[in-house]
Amino acid sequence: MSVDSMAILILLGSFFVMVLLRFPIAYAVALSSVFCLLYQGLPLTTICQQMVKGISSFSLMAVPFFITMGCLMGSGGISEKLIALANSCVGWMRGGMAMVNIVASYFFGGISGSAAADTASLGTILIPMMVDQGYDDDFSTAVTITSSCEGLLVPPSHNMVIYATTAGSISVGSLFLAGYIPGALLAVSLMIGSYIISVKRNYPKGEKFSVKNLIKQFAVSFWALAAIVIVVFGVVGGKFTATESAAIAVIYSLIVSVCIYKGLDLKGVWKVLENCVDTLAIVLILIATSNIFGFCLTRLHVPELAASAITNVTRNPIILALLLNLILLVLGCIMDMAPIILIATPILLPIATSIGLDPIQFGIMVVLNCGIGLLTPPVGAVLFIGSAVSKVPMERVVKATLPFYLCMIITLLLITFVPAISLWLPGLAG
Amino acid sequence: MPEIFKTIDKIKPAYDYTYKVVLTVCKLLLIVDILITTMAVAGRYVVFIPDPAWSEEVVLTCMSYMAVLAAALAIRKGTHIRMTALDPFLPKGLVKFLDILADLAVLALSLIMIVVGWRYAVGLGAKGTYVSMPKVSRFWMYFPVPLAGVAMLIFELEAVYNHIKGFFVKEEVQV
Repeated sequence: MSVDSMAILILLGSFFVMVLLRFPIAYAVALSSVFCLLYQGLPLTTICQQMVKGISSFSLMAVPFFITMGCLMGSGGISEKLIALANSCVGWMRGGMAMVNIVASYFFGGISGSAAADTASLGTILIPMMVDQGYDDDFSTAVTITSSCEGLLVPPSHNMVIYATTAGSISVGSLFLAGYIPGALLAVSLMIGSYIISVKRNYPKGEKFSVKNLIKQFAVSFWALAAIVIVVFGVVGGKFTATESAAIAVIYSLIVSVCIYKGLDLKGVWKVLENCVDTLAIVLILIATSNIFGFCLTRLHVPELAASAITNVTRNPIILALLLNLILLVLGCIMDMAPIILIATPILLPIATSIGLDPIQFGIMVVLNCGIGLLTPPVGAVLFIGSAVSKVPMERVVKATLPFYLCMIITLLLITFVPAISLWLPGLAG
Repeated sequence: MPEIFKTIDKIKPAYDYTYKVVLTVCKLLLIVDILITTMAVAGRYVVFIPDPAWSEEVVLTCMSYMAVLAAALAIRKGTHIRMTALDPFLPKGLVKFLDILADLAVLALSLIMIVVGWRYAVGLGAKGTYVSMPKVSRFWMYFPVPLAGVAMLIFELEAVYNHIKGFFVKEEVQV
C-alpha cells in the first residue's frame, strides 16, 4: 500500500483549515477534494462523477422523505396529542411533567426524527406548562433538550439512513430496529435523573393514573403513531424499502395532518414544503460533496491508515471503544450531525469493526454521540434552540443539563459495552 | 450611499423573483419525487396503478436537481452549516473578512463546477442514455453539476456584492 502523505495532508489539512475559517462545510469538503485531485494530477471531472454518484442513491431518497414526513406531522397539530398521551402514561409520577416531556419526546422523535424539531415543537408547549406548575425554568429546558435526543435513536431517523448509506451494506431496517431499545434506555436514564431531582426539589405530581384516559388519548394519537408502524413494519417486514416506506409515510402524514387532525390546510402544506427545502438544502449538497471527499479518502487509504495508527497506540478494545466515543463527542461539540456521519464514518468504522463492534451497534453509538454534541457548547444547535424557546440564558441551561449529561454518558457506555442493547431486536427480526 | 449601489440595487427584485422561482421548482421536484415513488410502490400491489421502469431513474434525477438548486437557495439565506463556535471570541472585522474569503472560495468552486461540469456533461456524460429511457441522454444526469455552479455563482455574486456594499454603507453612516 503506497502512502501519499502529502496528498493526505492537503486533503485533511485544507479541510480543517477551511472549517476553522468558517467556510460552509459542504463546500470546504468539495474544495479540499479539488486541491487533493489537482495535487495528484487527477481529472477534475471526478467531481462530477462523484457528486452525481453520491446523490444518485435510491436509499438516500429516504432522507428527504423522512424530513418531509416530520415537517408535515410536526406542523399538523400532533404535539398536543402526543403530550396528552404521555401525560396519561406517566403524568402521575413525582415530577410528572418532566416524565411527560421525556415520554412525549420518545413518541414525537419517532415521527420527526429531529432533535431540533422536537425541542422547538414540544418545548414551546411543555416548558411554559412546566414553569406554571412550579418547575424551575432551567430544569424544564434541560429536560426538554436532553430528551429530544431520543428522537435521533427512535426510528425512523433520517440520520440513520445517512449512516447506513455511508457505511454501506447495512440494512436500514435493522438499524431502525436497533434504535428502539437504546432510545428507551436513554428515556429511562433521563427519567431516573429527573425523578431524583424532582424528589429533591419537591416538584409536583400530576393527575392520578387512569386506564380510561390512557385508552382515550391513545385513540386520539393513534393516527399519528400509525405512521411509525407503516415505516418500521414496512421496512422490517420486507414489504417496502426504506425509501418507499418513507414516501408512503409522507402521503399518509399529509392525509392525517390535513384531513384527520385538520392542523394544516393546503396553504400550510405549501409553507411546510418550504421548511423541508430549507433543511434539504443543507443536507443533500453535503451528501453530494462528501462523496468526493470519501472517494479521495478511500483512494489515499486514509481509513486503513487511521485504523492502524489508532490500533498502534493501544490494542485494548475497551480503550479503543472509549477513544472512538471521545473522538465522536469532540467532533459533536464542534460540528453538526450530518457532516460528522458523512466524514467520520468511513474513517472510524474500520476501527470499530476491528475491535469487534458491529456496524449497526457503532451506528447507534455515532448517532448518540452526535446527539450529545447537539447539546454541548460551543456549537450545540439544540442547546441554542432550547435556550431561545425558554428564554433562559445558555449558561443556566448548561448548568441545569449537567446531571443529564451524566445520564446520557451512562447510556452511551451501556450501548458501547453491551452489544445486545442494540443488536437484540435486529437479531430477533432475523 | 454611493450612486452605483442604488443602481445595482435595482436588480434585487430580480434576485427575489429568481429565489421564489427556484424555491417553487424545488418544492415541485420534491412533490414529483414523492408521487412517483408512491405510485411505483402502489403499482406493485394494485393492478391498475402503473409501476413504470423509469420511476427510480427519474426520481434520482429529480433529487439531484433539487439538491443543487436548494443548496444555492441556502447560500442566499446563509443557512449552510459552518463552524461558528469561535465567532464570539473573534473581532467582528475578522469574522466579516472570513465571510468574504469563504464567499470568494465558493465563488471559485462554482466556476470550477460550471467549466468542468459542463465539459463532462456534454462529453463523457452525454455518451450514454438512461437504462430505462433509451431515448434520454445521460447528459441530464450530469447536468445538475454545472447547473449547481451557475446557481451558486448567481447567489454568491449577490453575497459578495452585499459584503462590498456593507463596507461603503457603513462608511457613509460613520460620516
